[in-house]
Amino acid sequence: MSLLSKLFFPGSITPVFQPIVSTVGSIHLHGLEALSRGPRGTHFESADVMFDYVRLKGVEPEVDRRCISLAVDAFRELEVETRLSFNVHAKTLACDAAFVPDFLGLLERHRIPAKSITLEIVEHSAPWLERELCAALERLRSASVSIALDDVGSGHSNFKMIVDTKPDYLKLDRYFVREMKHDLHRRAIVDCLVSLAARTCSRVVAEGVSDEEEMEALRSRGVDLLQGFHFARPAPVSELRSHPLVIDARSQLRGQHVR
Amino acid sequence: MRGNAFAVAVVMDAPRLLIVDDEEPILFALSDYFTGAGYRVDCARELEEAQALVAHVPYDLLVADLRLTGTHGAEGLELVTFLRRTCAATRVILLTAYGSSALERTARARGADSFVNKPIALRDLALEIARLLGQARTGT
Repeated sequence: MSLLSKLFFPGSITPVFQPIVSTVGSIHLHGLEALSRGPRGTHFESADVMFDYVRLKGVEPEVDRRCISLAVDAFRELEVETRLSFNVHAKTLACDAAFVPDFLGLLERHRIPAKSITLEIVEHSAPWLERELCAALERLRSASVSIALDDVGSGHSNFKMIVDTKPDYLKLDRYFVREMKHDLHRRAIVDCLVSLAARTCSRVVAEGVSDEEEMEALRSRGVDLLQGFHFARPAPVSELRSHPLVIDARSQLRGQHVR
Repeated sequence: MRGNAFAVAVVMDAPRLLIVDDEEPILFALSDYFTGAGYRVDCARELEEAQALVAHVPYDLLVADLRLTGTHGAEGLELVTFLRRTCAATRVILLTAYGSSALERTARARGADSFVNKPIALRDLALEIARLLGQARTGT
């Protein structure tokens, strides 16, 4: 069996979720980002290695579809109402014409409101088919799906991508969060992105927040959506159920329903 | 650790090898031998798997078969080219059963450090690995 076919074998990809927190008021759950882990005991346990392999094989659309489908199933088991983000390659949106209708159909079948969904665009190779990509994004926006641009500031997630994709969320790459306190240039880039977000009606999400100091530094600069090991590591549903952020979100929801 | 004349002394800091071959028995034999010698060994069966690994793991040395199951039979050359785009330090040994001086020139021009004809005794391959790891690589 080839490595690629192993990825499509039942149970070989495990969906995990990492909380994105809002620090507006108290720290609370803003949403969950669905991530994927490859087969245990293989190099593909590292998502970076697995997705590089997928890109080199040119099968991003097939694997994106599989990961999203598995994540939706797992999310349903979590029984929490929150924003849910999926990663998708720009190539999938641009080259797989059936992706958007199939994706919206999947949400409908699972009764997940499209307005609670964010698609995070990841891209590692340019050029993509701009016209097709923009048309797919327009269809998603019309259905109330939010768009995020992943890893902003690194690789191909650059200013051109911001202009082309007009994202609702700008996900600041962890590279700029790390050592921010001691690095003038990193702080300047964060400030620049916060200003850009304010002018384009989007929100900045800082990735890779690893401690209190980074959290406070980001908050003081106006970044109030944060994600990283400081709050929670990516975890499967079985572990996430007992995470305080999820428990808190569930109890708040129950409170709202009672009221 | 099994007895091996080429065992490296400190396992924690042992050099990291990537062995790339599409033949499972060869992969197993090389991996077993060099793990026994104290190296940290990863294996890849396909070009793209090896490329994905070298993009994320800082290997000290790569042993790759020139011809992997794939398209045109020179995947080893593609792998060296890919590696040299980002990494000058990793040493590379290309193995081939179809060697020629022209092919060797091409391999070296792409950045291979050593071009070895198969079959090769494990002992000789171990000597070549030790030799290359004992030298600092000077540019590509």
